[in-house]
Amino acid sequence: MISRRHFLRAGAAVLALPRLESLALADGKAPPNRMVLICAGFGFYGSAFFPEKGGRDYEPSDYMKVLGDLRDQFTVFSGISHPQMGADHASESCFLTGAKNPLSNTFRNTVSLDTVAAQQVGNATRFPLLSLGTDDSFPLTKTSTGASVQGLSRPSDIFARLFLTGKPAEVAQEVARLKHGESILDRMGDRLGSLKSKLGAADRQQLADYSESVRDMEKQLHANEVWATKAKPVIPEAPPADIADKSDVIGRIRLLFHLARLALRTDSTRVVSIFIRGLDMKPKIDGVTQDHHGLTHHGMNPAKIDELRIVERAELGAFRDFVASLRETKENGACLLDRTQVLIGSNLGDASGHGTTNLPILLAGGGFRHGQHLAGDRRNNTPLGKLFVSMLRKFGVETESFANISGPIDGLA
Amino acid sequence: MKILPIAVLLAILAAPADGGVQEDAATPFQSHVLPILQSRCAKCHGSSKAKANVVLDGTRGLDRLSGEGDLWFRVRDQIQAGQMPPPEETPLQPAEREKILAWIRGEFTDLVAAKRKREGRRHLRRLTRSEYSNTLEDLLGIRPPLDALPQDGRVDGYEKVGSALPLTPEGALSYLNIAEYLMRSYVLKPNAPDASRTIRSVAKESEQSKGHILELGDGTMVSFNSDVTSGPFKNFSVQVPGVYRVRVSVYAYQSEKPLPFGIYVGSTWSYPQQLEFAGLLEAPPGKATVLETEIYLREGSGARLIPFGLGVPVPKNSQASQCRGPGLAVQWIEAVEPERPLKIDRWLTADFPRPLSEELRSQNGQVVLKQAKSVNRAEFLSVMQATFKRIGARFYRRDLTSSELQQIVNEIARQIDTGVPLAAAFQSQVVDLMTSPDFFCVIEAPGPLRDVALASRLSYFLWNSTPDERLLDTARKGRLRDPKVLRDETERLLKDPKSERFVKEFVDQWLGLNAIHDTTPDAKLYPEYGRNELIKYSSVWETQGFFRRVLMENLGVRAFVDAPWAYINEPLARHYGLPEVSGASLRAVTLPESSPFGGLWTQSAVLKVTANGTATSPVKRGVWVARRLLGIDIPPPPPTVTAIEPDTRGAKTLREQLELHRNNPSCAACHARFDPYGFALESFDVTGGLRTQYRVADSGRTGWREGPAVDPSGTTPEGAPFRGIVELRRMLARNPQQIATGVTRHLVTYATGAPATPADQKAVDAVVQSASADNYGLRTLLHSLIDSDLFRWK
Repeated sequence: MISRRHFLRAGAAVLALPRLESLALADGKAPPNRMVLICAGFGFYGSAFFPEKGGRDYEPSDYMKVLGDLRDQFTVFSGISHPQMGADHASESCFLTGAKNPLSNTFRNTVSLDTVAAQQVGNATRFPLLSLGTDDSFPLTKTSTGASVQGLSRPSDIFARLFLTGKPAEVAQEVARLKHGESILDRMGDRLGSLKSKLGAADRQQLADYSESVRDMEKQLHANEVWATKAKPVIPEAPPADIADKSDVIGRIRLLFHLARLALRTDSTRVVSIFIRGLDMKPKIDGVTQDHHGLTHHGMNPAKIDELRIVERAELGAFRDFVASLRETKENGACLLDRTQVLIGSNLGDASGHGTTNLPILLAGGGFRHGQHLAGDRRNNTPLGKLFVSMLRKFGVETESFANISGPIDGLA
Repeated sequence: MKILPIAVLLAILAAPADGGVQEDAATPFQSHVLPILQSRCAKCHGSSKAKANVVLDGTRGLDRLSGEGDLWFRVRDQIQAGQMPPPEETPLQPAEREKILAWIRGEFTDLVAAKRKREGRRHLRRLTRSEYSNTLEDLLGIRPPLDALPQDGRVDGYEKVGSALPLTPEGALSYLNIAEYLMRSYVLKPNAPDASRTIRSVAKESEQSKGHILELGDGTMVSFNSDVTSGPFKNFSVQVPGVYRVRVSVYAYQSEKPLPFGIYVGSTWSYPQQLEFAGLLEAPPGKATVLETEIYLREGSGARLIPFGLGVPVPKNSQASQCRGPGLAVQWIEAVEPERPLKIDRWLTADFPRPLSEELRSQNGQVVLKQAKSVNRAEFLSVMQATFKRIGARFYRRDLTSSELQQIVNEIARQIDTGVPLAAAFQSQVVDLMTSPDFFCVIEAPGPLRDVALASRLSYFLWNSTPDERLLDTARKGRLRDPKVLRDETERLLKDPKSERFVKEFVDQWLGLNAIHDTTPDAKLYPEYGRNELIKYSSVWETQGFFRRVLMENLGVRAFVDAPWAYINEPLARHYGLPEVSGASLRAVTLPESSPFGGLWTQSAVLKVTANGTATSPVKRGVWVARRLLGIDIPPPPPTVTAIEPDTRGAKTLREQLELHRNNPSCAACHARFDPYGFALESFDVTGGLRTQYRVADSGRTGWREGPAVDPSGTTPEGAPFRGIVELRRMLARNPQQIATGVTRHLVTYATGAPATPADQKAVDAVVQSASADNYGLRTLLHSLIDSDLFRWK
């Protein structure tokens, strides 16, 4: 699919945004479903993340305490992971795909969860999805053929694409390009049609199916063309400045969360994925004196673990504020959080050994009945794909499986 | 279309009693068969109570009957197998049974076969992903990017069947994107270098952590791991796609034997890497040697060399200097670019006079008609006419009609008249050709195939790609329909190196080898297999090479079940426990007397894809033998049969578990037709290794120990008992006609893109029969098939 993220728009009229209401309801329809998927590349320290007991009356763990009064808005999972990930950072490319054996000579990735959800949305929003990262790596999002997708990391750039009108010449070029594609597909469809009379009855069904696909893509391109000239929503705030200091990872995370919320609120997109890249330097957080990567390889050193917890508490603090902000954004009486599934976790379970089992996974919002710790078997993990099936179904995709894992997951209503 | 009247004529001549055949199918049904069905079957399968949605009573005219192929052949199967009427009902009288079966096998089969012949056995489909890629490579010298198109489906294991090939919206757009990318990147490039460069890169030190790769003083880098961290090069990057002559300077370090290694290409820098295996070489011990090979490289591809069979003796963050085992010492790599100008550029612009070609290139492709110095309007359009006549015929695999050609030239004229640069106008029409269904679909009118359609079918069968100039020309002249010419062309195509694609694709789809990477045999139970990827790769080459030899030497297809030779290399010889063979290259060796090996079904690759990583299944393997080798149609369990939970607490081996399962009569009748083959194959584990006892997980040193004994005995469906694979093999080998029928049915599916149904049985039998005098030689069968109406009609 062509990524419309890459092209800027011009607008005729501007649309004013009423306060904190969600734009999605401007035409009175039911609010749509959204999904936000967050992966922290360096994991979360297990003893601080997982509560001891399973069920609804679990004692909050150190990190669950950070999430404070949001307890009833999320479910924390344990004993869950993608099978056969190997034990390496390479698993970050498989966090949303579940494709096996990323280290093998013959590895081929597959479609990611955000792409599947975005296909459901189609052209209803300007951006089928937003793939964001705190830094220049975007391992999460993969196309339907498993190809990597270039994401966005600079907040000024993200804001511009979402909310600033583009230069007329660029818009004209984009429109011309789309029209050109449409005309070629139009000819393709015509030629398929003209074959009907020359061939037999048995061929006509296949011809009809092929024609339909071609017309479908033509319509998609045309919808892209309409978006290209449509006005963008106006945000009553100044475009953000990029945070040049790489070590201010918490600042960068908060800014991405802020932009994600704006994007959802204005219905610019309904699917956002965010990769938090672990730092190979000292993060700019009070009380942290060593580089983040070194802290994750703590080797059981209590001093390192203490500092690691400070870093991760800060990350989860930003997450907490993000989820709370979604709860505060109103939509027709209910809140944006009720329609938005927010998943946070990591491709690494035991980061110090690069283990990829027993992943820290937490799901907030989306209208599920939360407030529990769904504890799986630590020795025989539940496949994470099952949770993805539940999420897709909640999102509105009718599916029974994801990456060859049948879902949905037990215990999540 | 000129041909149409002839097709009509042929249709009339071929079935003069067409009306008569149709009469005959409905009348005997009404008079002989329907009464039996009404009295014996309507109780459960009448229109009022249609069990399993099967309705057998009620009058039927020809129209309805000719569309009921699935139904009546299923009825035939069920009656023949004794499954219907069900055991609790009175069985059919022999006379009743005969009447129904005779009608189905006779008039009904003829009716359906005639309909299929009239309408075509297959319908329109797009090219498969690999056909499309090969076509681009053969025409333009460039393959499309790996992930540009979605993977194809499979029907009965075959990609070439129309229903396996939907066209997605993204797929349709991809044809446009690929075409425009090729034009933009490689055609009429300004300042393209005249000569091809040679890329030279030295071996790189460790990319992971210092000391992971051993650095010898002279720049030689030694890798000890059989994983993707090995054998990197400094700044090796491919700019131009195509076939490269590649040379590497290597040797086997700390080793007395040669060390096999693979050349892997692709995104060697990305994380994770996505690599393609490009070739196998052997590094000799002692001193540096230059090895040479030819491989296809994609634009932007990197390369690395990964030794086989060494495991990972130097894990991350450890020092290679501590390793005493063998390693791959690498010094440099050289890759000679494909010749310039690139084939795509040369071939597309072959009709351009030199001054025009130079002018278009020099101006960055921007020269418009008004400024053009090398041609005027009429001259340019004349060049376009000649060009598109020539290339259009190759893209569409038939001559363009005069109106098609005129439309292209008119469009170019229109564009250049409105100021579009000449190069852009030209390229836009190449894109037009490549985005037309006439290019990316296989288009055939019903009836006997025109020569050009026959040429396409032949080349996509034997080359998995477009016809070459010579084949197209033979077809264009109307000479391909002559059986002698058809035979000669078949021979020519088989002798061409491109026929290797047929060997690889057919073996992959027929035997299911595409699943070779799907499972990883349990590392504790089968440590030797997991340690050396070369066994797995070799097993695939073994099966391909075995098939290739049977094809090229026209050996009897009996060899698929029973051959006194095997096609193996050193790792396979060790894996099978056969007398030692030296080196990684495969060669034919004679098997010892009474060897359990011999034939396709006891080869490692086949045995692996018919098992999972931990356990074998006699049912899965048995069904495979019946369906794939013997061409017997094994239907799935009937939907009305509920799954039984046998009490397996007393059982130990899988076979014993199955015994309890099969004691249920509704299952036993069907299972007796294939389980026995699987029992004999229980002598082979999930990696194809020979065993007399099952391996059981153990906490001891090796990780496994011998468990219960294997019982490979059984009774064939015909009632003959056997003690194991050697005896069963002899029994099956006595019926080469059955094997020939099986292979032919599969060749029909692959070659025609439509599975062989019961309606085709007579035609298949005729093909098999024609090879009987020749020992059912594979090549003879192939020729026979190509010359039959199954292949020559749609």
